[in-house]
Amino acid sequence: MIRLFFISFLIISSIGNTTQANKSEIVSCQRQFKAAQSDSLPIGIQSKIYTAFVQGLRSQNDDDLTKLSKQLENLYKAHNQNLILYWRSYLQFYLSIYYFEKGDKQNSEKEIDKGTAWMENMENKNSEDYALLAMLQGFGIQFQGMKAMFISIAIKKNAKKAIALDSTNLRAYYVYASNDFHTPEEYGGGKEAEKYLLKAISLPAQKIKNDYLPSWGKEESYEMLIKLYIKKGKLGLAKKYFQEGIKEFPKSHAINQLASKLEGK
Amino acid sequence: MKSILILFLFLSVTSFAQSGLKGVVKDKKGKPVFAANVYLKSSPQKGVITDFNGRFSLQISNRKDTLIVSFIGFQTKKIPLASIDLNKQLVVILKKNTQSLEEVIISAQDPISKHFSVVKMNKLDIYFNPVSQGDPLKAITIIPASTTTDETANPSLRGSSADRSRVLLNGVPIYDPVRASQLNNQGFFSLFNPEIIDEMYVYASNPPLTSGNTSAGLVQIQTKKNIETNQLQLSASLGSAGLFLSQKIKKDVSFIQAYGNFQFSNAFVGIQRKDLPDIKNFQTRDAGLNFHSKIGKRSAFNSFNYFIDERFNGVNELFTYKGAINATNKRYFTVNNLEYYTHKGVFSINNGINISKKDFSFGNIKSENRDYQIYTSVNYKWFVLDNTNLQFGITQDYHRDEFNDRNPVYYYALSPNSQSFKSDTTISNNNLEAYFYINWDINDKWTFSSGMRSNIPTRNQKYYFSSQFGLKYQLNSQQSFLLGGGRYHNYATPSYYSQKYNLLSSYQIALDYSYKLKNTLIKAATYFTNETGGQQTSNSFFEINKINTFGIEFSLEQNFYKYFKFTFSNSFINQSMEINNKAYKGPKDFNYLVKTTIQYFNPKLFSLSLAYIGRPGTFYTPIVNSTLDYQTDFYKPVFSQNLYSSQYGNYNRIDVSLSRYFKLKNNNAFIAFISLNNVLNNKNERQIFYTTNYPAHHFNYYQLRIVYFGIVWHLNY
Repeated sequence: MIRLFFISFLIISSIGNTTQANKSEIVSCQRQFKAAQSDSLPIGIQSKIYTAFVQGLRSQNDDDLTKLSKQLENLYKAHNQNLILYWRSYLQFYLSIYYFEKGDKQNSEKEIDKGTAWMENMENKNSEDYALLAMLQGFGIQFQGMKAMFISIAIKKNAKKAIALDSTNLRAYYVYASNDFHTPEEYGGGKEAEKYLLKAISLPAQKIKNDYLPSWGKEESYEMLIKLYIKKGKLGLAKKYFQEGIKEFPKSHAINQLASKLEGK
Repeated sequence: MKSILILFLFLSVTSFAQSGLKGVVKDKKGKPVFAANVYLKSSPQKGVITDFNGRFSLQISNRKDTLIVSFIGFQTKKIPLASIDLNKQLVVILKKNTQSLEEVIISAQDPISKHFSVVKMNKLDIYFNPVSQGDPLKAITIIPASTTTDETANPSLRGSSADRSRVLLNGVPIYDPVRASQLNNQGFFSLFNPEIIDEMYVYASNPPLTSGNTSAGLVQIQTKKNIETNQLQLSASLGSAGLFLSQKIKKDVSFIQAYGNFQFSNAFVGIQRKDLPDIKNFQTRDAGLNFHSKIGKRSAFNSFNYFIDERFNGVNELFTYKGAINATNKRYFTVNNLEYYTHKGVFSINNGINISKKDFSFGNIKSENRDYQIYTSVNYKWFVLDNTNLQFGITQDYHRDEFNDRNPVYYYALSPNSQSFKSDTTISNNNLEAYFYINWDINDKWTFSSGMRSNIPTRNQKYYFSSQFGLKYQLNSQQSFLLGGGRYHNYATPSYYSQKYNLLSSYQIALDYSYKLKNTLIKAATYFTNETGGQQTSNSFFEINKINTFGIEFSLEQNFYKYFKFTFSNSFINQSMEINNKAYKGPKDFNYLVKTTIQYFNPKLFSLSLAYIGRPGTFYTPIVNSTLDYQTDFYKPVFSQNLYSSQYGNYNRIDVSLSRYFKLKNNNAFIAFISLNNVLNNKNERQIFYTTNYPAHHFNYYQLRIVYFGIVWHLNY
């Protein structure tokens, strides 16, 4: 079951941000924000990490990701800001997926553990930090063996904290729903995902547009919600949210690929 | 690329052409806030973002507009432009967000002293603990700080007697928290069901003074605040049958957990009578009910109620008399908690009532003991600053004990025909205390705590004042140190042997170290405790005046090959005690106390664990001679002048347990388990007994090889 969870998570994660990356590129050209600092590395960093990840999968090497990782490390050493540590951990998530895709589970585990530890030890975590921590733990749970059950409790607690700290953070709802979605029913899972995903898609990716801050989660929420309705046989609702999702993320491969499961039904 | 360059140049030129507002955004500590949004109310999409130094520069055209500064986790700041001097750099200080009620509720669930507990366990930790047998207090036995030597679930920590430590359930002390705790030291299991437990914190030394009446350690048990799913559990085993129900009443608002068990001895004793020589039969019925409900958005109420009815018939020996012992115990207790949350803290009232009736008879001894306890505390936990929490309150702990006993006239003449006399004693104690506790997270590395607790003497009580400090140093993400010290007080729980509330006290200092890697946990500790007060030892005639304990602990936990876990711990305890101004070896003076386990846990296959506990025997005072008492026809023992000079044989025990999880249809599951305790059937000496005129002796033993098995159905609905 954990493996199933991981594989579906991998698929979501690998292809989930395709349209977001393209969209971000367009937005970053059109954006009217003017960054006050000269160092441009953190601008659109979410998109940069994803682009490096996709490039890595295409070229079968992790040069771009490790180069970006090194740059973020230097930036963190210079400025010691939680936000930079957030993006370093976010990058670890993709680095871990990259290695897993290559079949290198050892490095995949090592990299996700690194990111998780950074987030766990971060002081004064905010809602975004707890949401990312829960996501990293959710991905890393597959490597935990006998500790998996304990980690599952921690994921839920961290996602709940993320919601408590900011009830308008869609990523907090998404991560909570994702954990519930992938928890087997006999362990109490599968009961709250729908409610939390509906909440997630009702929220904006960011309240004020800011290219330094995270904006992931909405496209993934649509995808998971459609999958949930397909799984439950609620095809009417699946189609409704498919149409809504595809309208908001027209180039989303993750959502588009679900069309075949809804055709003729 | 070309168009981006042109756009960049255009923006830069535009930027130079205009003049505007310059400023810096900081938090309350003066640290720059990076990536904060800075914009005007009239045009939120035309803002700027602060740099690494928190600086920004914004063009403004209309002085009637309002500047808005926001960042995740901070309160949004709004400043009318008219109030800003554009010739000076604006400094914007962002305050952290006021905690939401949900956040307060989550924070309030952790005890204020959480940084200073050495172990935290949840339900799964208890179930997967290799020595717990599913019992919350037995799970503590495996930690190096546990110095329980009598195989009961009643926790003894760092060499102290169990009666100096306390177990709290939702802030209310549960005295004598084990089953069948009669004279013969049954009490293998505690009164708690792991299914109701959310978290359990163990303070091996320096119990936080948010709780009173402990001069050794503390175990804090907190019940669940919500349940994941409705569930019915049915269990059947060699010695019991039971059911457990978890039921939501109103989604996300209220739920109940109800359970009942019936324990019986026929099969359990029948198949291994040789290995249970002291048990004829027993029967226990117990029932528990936990109810939790939110009351509106700000309040929550929890009520836990428990009833147990135990009967035990066995064989006991004391001095030279061997005969039947019959015991019954009926007990009811209720623990009720009301909490009210504000944005700055939580106000709570905790109340507990305990009523019990214990009877036993052995030879010419008959004892009827009635206990009544009422406990009430009123507390406020105040989140004063982001890094500082305070808690203060007042507690009342009222005890009344009635002993209606028939005692032997001569302590060594115990046959039913020997002379005895009636003795009725009623005693009570009203312990009123006030306390104050502070936790201050100084910075990323240091945390400081301090507590004070004073009694408000009633009747002829002596005044006392307890105080403590704690310092935690987080060296890095893996290593931490805990230093704690203080002075503590508690009243001894009266028993058949000591029918009074002796005031006990202690000085403690302890240093704990922890090193945690992904698959490795290393812990070490050293401590010194000085205990004073008239402390009665069971089955002895001496009152201990003082005990000094110095200890060193080491433990290693290693996970390997995904499904394996190995643990090893050892404790060195140097203990001496003072009786009538003479020093003797303490009851827990051990050169070694080794505990080691190995576990294999694979949910798809099975779970197997092996646990070993080894230590030297405890010390006792031998009987060296006897004289015939013609009046009673019993020999009167003559104890050695050199108290505690003899030692029981070394204690060694290996336990094995195996369980298998089977998934059934409709989300149901089935668990089968079997355990074999004391696999090698070691005869671990527990107590010495003598023949009629004391020329020869023999021992009785701790649990011999015992097999136990059963099944549990989980029905989720």
